[in-house]
Amino acid sequence: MKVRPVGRGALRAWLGRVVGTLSPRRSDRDLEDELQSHLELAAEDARRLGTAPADLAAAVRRRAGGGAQALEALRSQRELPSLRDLGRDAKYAVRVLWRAPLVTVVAVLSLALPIGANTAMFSLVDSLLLRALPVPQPERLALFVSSPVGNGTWTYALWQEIRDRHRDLYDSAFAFSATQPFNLAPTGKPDPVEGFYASADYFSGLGVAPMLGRVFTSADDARGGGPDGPVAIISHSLWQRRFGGKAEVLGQRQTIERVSFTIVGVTPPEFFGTEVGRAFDVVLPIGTEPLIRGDASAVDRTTTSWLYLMARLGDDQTLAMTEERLRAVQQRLREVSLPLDVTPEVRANQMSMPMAVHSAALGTSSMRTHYRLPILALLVVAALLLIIACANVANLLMARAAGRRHGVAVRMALGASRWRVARSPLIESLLLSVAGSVLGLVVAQWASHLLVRQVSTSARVAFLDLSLDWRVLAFTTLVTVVVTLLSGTMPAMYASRAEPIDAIRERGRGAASGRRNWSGAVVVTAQIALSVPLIVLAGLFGQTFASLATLDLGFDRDAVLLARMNVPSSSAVAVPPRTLYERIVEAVRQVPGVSDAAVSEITPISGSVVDHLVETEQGPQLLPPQNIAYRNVLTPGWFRVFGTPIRAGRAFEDSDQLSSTPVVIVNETFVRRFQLTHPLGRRLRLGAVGQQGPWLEIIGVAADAAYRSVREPIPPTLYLPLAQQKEDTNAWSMSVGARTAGNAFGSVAPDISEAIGSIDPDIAITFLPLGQQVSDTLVQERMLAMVSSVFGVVGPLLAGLGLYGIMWHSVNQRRNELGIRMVLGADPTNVVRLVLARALMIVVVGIAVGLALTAWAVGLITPLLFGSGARYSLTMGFAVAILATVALVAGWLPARGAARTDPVRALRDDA
Amino acid sequence: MLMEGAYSSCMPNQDAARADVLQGTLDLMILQTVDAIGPLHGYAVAARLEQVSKGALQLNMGTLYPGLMRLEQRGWLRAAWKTTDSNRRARFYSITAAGRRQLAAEKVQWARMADIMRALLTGEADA
Repeated sequence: MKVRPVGRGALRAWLGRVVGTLSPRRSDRDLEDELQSHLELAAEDARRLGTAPADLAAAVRRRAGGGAQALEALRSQRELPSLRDLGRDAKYAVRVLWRAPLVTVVAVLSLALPIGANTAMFSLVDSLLLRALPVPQPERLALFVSSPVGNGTWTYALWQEIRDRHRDLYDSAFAFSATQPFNLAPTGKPDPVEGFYASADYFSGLGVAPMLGRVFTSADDARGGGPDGPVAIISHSLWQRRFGGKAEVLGQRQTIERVSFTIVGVTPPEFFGTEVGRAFDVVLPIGTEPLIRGDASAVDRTTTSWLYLMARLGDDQTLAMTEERLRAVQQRLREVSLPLDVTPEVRANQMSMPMAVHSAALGTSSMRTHYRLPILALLVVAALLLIIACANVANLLMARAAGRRHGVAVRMALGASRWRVARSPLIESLLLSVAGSVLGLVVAQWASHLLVRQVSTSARVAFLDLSLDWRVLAFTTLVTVVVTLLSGTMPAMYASRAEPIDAIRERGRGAASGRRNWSGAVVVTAQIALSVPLIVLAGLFGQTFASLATLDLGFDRDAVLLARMNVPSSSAVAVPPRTLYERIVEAVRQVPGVSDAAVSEITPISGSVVDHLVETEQGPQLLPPQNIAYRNVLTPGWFRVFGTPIRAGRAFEDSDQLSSTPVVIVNETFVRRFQLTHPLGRRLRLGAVGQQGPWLEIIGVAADAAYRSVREPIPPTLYLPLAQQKEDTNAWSMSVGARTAGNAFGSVAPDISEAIGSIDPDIAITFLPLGQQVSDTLVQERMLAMVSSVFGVVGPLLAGLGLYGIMWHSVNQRRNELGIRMVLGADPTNVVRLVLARALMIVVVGIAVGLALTAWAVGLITPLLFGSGARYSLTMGFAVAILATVALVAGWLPARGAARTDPVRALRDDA
Repeated sequence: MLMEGAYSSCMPNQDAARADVLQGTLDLMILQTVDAIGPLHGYAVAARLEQVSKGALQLNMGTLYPGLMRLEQRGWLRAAWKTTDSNRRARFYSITAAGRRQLAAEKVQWARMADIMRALLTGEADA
């Protein structure tokens, strides 16, 4: 080998040669021309010096000899000979792969699936955790956070304060609500799309120019709308879907939540809003919110925090600086937001909550909070699967390298370099992993969209921008390189250990074959070890989902259809809400197929909470949060409809009216919390100290039932009769629960809709079976269970394939030895035992390592598990059983083959 | 004398260690020449070296052009086809910034080596 000076110059020369090989820019012609010009210049010189024409040629030759050598040297120096060889080796590798198409296809597919899974997981990580908002200079965006607890939203009053009096904090600031459903249907069946409220400067602050029309002006954001009346901006997607992408959309009227809006703008297609994980179709000015929500408007409430506050900082403002300045004015801001009648403790608590300024380059996202850990966990699991798949390809290439050992030795004896022979397995693995990656990208596109659909629910449509970006492509490229090295390095090292002397040794009995089997066993042991966590995680996630899905929640989730009503404030003035709802319940009860119906303020597992501070008469003095109980307001019959038993006393009856004794029903947890040994007849009252309502008499104890979430412990809960409520802020959005015979939800829904319509045709109704409302909160667990079960099946299968491969190979290599044993009288059963013992040893070691690995991994994902404490060891046992079975099958098949070997033939073949 | 013989017989397959030393020397000579009198074609470089060495150094094409190509590949020289004073087309080489840095570094090294050799051969170091 030629020694080259190492350094930047050498590197550059090498690169020059690579370029020279790939694009032969300096042609032979160019080289010849240069040498020719040299000769001509030499001749000219000689003539000038007065050399006689006859001696000219000789003189030139003397002065400028070596032209032929020069050309040859230049040619060889121009390019890298090794790169030419590489092309030849690649062609050879393609031929090798082509000769065994089935093996190649299996290898590519077994790589494509894990590569696709990894890329899909990474593209979720990318779009959810890494990708900046598609706006100019996203790094200058800041999120103002009102308090470290909760979602950091602000009240409208505070937003106004910051907008109008603290302009020095930012360059521009804007507020927006969480993404929520908006009904586009003027009447009848709801037509929900996603949308949010935004302040005037939302689009200009972000730097998003409308694709069509205009963005909001501050006049639009005035309460009740500006000079153009209520205006709306729609998404590119809605524009395409509903308005055919026509420019006439501008100025058109669109009913949104029964209010007529004028469409003034369309957003560009790449803009999906500031909440990552959700898309939007309509954006409305915050000032129009009172038109839609009427008396329940959040704009007017000084205690309702509902607006995210984002700002674009000036070039000279940093996040830290802005945070410091925000905290300097925090006291004054808090004063604005506090109601006058708060207790000193609450006031002190509120005052001490530090406001903060975070980077908003990635937008806001509740999905990010919920899915960071699951997605990262699945990415790791997918990586394990990939390693298992690589191990199989490595073993395959190992076997090929072993088969070629004689040929390799011959090549080395003829002078091929070690590197040249070592790289052919690397080239094969590169080709396989490139093919796997290309296919994997297709798998990934499909899988990532599937996953996002899986975590969507009827109420929350998940959306992620999953277009390929440079990060995803870089990740896939990196994966390709890693796969190539993982599956190609060992075979390459093995091939390079070949000695020229092997060429003249006997075939098939290479001295290194024992070592090769040893490394194959290590690879398969690793595969088994990595399969253990895959199976255990699949088991744990599966159990988590199953136990949540079948948990006794204290109500019948399968027999109730929920109809959430939105009563427009205009139509309801004629009768008080309780009268309206009593009529609705009566009407719904008449619907054929409905056995019973009741109305309630809260439906179980809807995510909504109303809570109260509670004081019991002569009870213990509890302090917050101990004395906080969740409440629900109901019509009689609710416990029957939802199937929550009454443990003591009675349920509400029609006789519980405004004129009779105010009554309350509590649940068992409430009884325990407030230490009510004889709860019936005891009294309690609600509200902050000094502002309590009247005393309420406990007339019944209901069984515990889940309230907001299936995962939370059941809270102390109290139930109030609707008939006794004088005023109620949620009166205009209550829900009917209809118990149906044989859950024929689809067929009764139109009838219920008609029945409610007969009472008030303006009520908008959204139907959702109670069971679906519950399972919608389990989408994360369902997604984890689904994906991990795929991994949990594919992983052990690949490991089994790997074990089968090396067992088969080792039996094949030992045919000679086994043949001798059998000739000498060994029982076929002994032969089977011999082979199986080896497989078993691999599996036992693999499982032992895998269990240790799993114990560590499970610790990291504990927050994602539910109630699996005792089942953990069971799942471990399950994993061991599965792998032992896989091992038995993978070991037994080759063992049986070995036992059936005809000893004589085995010996003859080998000779 | 030694140099002339060495260059006229310099072949690609020569003993590696010796070739490297000589290669380095040739690189230095070419770089210095091109740096001193600006864009030059290959023949002019050879002629200039011959002139400076008073005929002792006669580079044949098999030595000169691989050297020029090597320096070009390392980014120390750049080349372009131009017309000579006598209206002939020739490939003219000029030095790059990197080449100038390399030249400066090699000059220093060469001077140091020359000092060492002088000290060694004349026995000055002992005194």
